[in-house]
Amino acid sequence: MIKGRCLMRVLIVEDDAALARGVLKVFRTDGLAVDHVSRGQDALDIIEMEPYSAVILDLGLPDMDGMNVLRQIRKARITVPILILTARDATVDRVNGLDNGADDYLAKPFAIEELEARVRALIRRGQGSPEPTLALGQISLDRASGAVYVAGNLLDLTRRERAVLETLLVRVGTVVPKSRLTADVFDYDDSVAPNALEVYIGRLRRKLENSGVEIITVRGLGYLLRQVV
Amino acid sequence: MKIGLFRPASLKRRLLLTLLLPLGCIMLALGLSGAWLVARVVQGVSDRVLSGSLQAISETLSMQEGFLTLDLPPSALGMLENSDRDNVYYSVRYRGKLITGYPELSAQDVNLRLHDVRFSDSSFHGIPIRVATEAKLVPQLDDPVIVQVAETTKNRVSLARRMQLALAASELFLLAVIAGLVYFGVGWGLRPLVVLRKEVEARDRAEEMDFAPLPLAIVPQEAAPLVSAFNSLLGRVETSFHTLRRFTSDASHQLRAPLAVVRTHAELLGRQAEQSPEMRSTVRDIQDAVKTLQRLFVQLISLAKAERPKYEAEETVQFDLVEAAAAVARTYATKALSARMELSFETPYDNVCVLGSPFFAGEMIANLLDNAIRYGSAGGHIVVRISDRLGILEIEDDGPGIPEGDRERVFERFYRLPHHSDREGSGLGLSIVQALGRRMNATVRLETPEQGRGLRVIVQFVVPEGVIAQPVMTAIAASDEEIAP
Repeated sequence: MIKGRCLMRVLIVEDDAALARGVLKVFRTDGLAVDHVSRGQDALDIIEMEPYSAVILDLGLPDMDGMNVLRQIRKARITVPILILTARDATVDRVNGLDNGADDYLAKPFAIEELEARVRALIRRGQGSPEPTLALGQISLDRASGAVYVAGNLLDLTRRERAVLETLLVRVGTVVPKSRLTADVFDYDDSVAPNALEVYIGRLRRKLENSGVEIITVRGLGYLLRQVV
Repeated sequence: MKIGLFRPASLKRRLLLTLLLPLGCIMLALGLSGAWLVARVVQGVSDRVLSGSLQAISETLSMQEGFLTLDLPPSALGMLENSDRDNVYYSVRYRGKLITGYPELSAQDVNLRLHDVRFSDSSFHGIPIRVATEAKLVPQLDDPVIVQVAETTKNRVSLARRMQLALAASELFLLAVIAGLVYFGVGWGLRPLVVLRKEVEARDRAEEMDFAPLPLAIVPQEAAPLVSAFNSLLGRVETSFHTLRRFTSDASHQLRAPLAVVRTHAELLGRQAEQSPEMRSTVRDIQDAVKTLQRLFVQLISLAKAERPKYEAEETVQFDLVEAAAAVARTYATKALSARMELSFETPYDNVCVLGSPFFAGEMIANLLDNAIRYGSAGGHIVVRISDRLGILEIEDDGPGIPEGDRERVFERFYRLPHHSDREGSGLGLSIVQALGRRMNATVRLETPEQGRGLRVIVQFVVPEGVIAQPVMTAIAASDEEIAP
């Protein structure tokens, strides 16, 4: 797994030179190797030769439609993770892109952090392994061993408390629906009391006191894990 | 009142007015002259009869043995007999002296010529009479003998009246016939326009815009220029419609690319400027401005899309309002938390089926929640509520609210409440909400929550027919059961 970060190569196919320069700089400061081409044909040529960890593909290219580039890459049985970048925001485009084999989709203009996060996720997915450790503030969760640490000290959690925390950590900063948590925490044949989830959340909250993270109840919608502000 | 006067009158009314008014005048003139003519003719005929009987009398005047004799044949006055029983009077004078007859018939000082019958109007004991006078020379007498026959005018007046009435009646009848012809004629003549109107109305109701020119064949020649003008207008509307569509997609495309560049580089600058507080604040200003610009333009595009007329038949689908609202509310819950506000979702249902576009509904709710967070303050509560199955969604906050008087205006583009000028906002949110709602036939209403502050936005979505019908059906089923045993 530890192949060294220098091997992470990302290709940016984007005809807007100014935007490409910006994205290149951002990824380079992140320590990724980034190449840039501005034409669809160049992209097809270079993708066949170089093993990229992820491709950022703009749909509006001067020589051919980005969607076409996407289809040809998939036709050539190249499985590199591809993120589509487009100035169009129609849902149809989004669905089309995903149908044609794109892995993710981002509409212009985007927050650069979001592009970084999504490309990171794509690279991980391409390597076939989810993030080995999930961390937020002082807590970290080792997904392989299931151990949870608060500021380096092992936290004693039951299996279900750990499952709740993991689900919340994976979706940190977003409201996780109760149904989603229930599905992750309980098996189908478990006879679940209606307030069972609340019980686990309550226990987890007590154990996470003073850990710098908190579980917030969003009434009617679910739960959200965030750093104490 | 004046407005009523200048209201464009109906074609029928205008035609009737322009036609009937002069026609009425002409009829009046014709009637008056006709009445005058009738009176004259009746006078003439009656006078001839009167003069006949006068002459019948005067013919018998003769001198016999030094006496003026007169034979009054019964036929002479019998001529004047009529159903109206006019009274007949006569007198014979010589040198002003009454020989025989009624003394009341005074001889007029008319310049009588010999053997000439003169007529005049007079009265007999207050009753109007017509008098015929003749000066007749009788042999052996130096001066002419004046013979007068008079009759009361009852008969001639009533005859004239009857004829005049008949004339007036026939004129009125003619006028009525013309009015009727105009009325039905205009209706008949305008019938092709009704067909045209139906054609236009059908297009108005149609889901898809139809810019095909209206058929010229079905309209009368007179209306053809109007229809041609309308068709050319239709053509121009089509052009501008397509321009608008192109603009919204082009603008979307063309503006996004440079914005992405600015955003990316501003972000880069921000990272590099971390050490210098001065630079940091400058870069933050740029970033904020870019975000505002982006939001404004996204909203403008969104509004243009929502307001553009329907072209393709839009997909109206049944979707779950609970799911659509919850998905948006989850996104905005984190934003509310960052603004130290609380957002909650209240519904007793797992799903509530409504008709429309889930995408539009999501955008509506997003705009409403964005407003609630934007104009609320720390510690505020926002509630998204679906409390029945009738397609009603409420979004309630305890923020500053919207004064009663502004509730119409807040739906106008770029309208912002005066006390909101310190908050960043475009004043487009509610316009978008309303336009999107309109596309799904959903209505948006504002009211003040019971606690007296804040704002409650009530969106009424269209519900599939079965939903309303259900309670009715169970009611019928229940009563059936009661009857069954």
